[in-house]
Amino acid sequence: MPAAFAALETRLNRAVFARLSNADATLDSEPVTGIYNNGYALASVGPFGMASSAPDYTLPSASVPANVIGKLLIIGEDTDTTSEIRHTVVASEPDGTGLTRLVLERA
Amino acid sequence: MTTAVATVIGAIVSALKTAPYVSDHVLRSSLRTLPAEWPTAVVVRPMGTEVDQFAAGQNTFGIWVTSVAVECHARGSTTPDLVIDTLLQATANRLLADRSLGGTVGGLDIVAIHYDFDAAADITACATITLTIRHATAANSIAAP
Repeated sequence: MPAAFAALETRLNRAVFARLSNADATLDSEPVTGIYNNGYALASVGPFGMASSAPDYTLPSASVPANVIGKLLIIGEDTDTTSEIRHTVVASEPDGTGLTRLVLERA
Repeated sequence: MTTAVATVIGAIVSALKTAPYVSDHVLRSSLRTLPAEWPTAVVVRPMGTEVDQFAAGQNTFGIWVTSVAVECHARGSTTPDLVIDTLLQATANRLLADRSLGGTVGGLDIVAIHYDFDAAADITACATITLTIRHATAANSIAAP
């Protein structure tokens, strides 16, 4: 029987994705659901920088395949965005409680 | 009346904006972050100027050496140094194609190239070309002759 707090974490994670997921996607050709962010980021090159964005995708760690770095994540058309957005996974950051943040780069 | 430095900067910008453009965005001394919609940009800004030869008399022109930074910015998804390489090569080729900038200066040399890289949604790179340019000023003045 899992510890009480571990069970609570599992329930909480399930609730988070049930309520807060904003993007269905395919990750390495498998469907996944998670939270997509793509806010402004300043790339620090040159004296004043270049505007960019910092896309990431948070999903249940159980949905992350092995060796995920370099795999394709496609945000689908049935999301807030109007067209397919293709990203390459460049970093994987599991938080140790069942969630993983994938850092993305435009493919 | 325009200073000799401003004339030099203008001549460099004109050279880079001569068709075919090295980039759709050639800017003079921009102090703003470059927009995400721009795949490339080149920014030309003065770094400083020093006397190379003092004027020989009251009414003779002076010779100055002016340092200019030409920042080549690009974004892409390939290897970082390759993201900037095409624009850097095109810019350098354009600058060295006429080292007198249409007769405006005595000579132009590339003396350094420095690189910056960063990664976000895309790979961003900036290669800054440092130029030294020998040019004249009007007599008893920092104005262009």
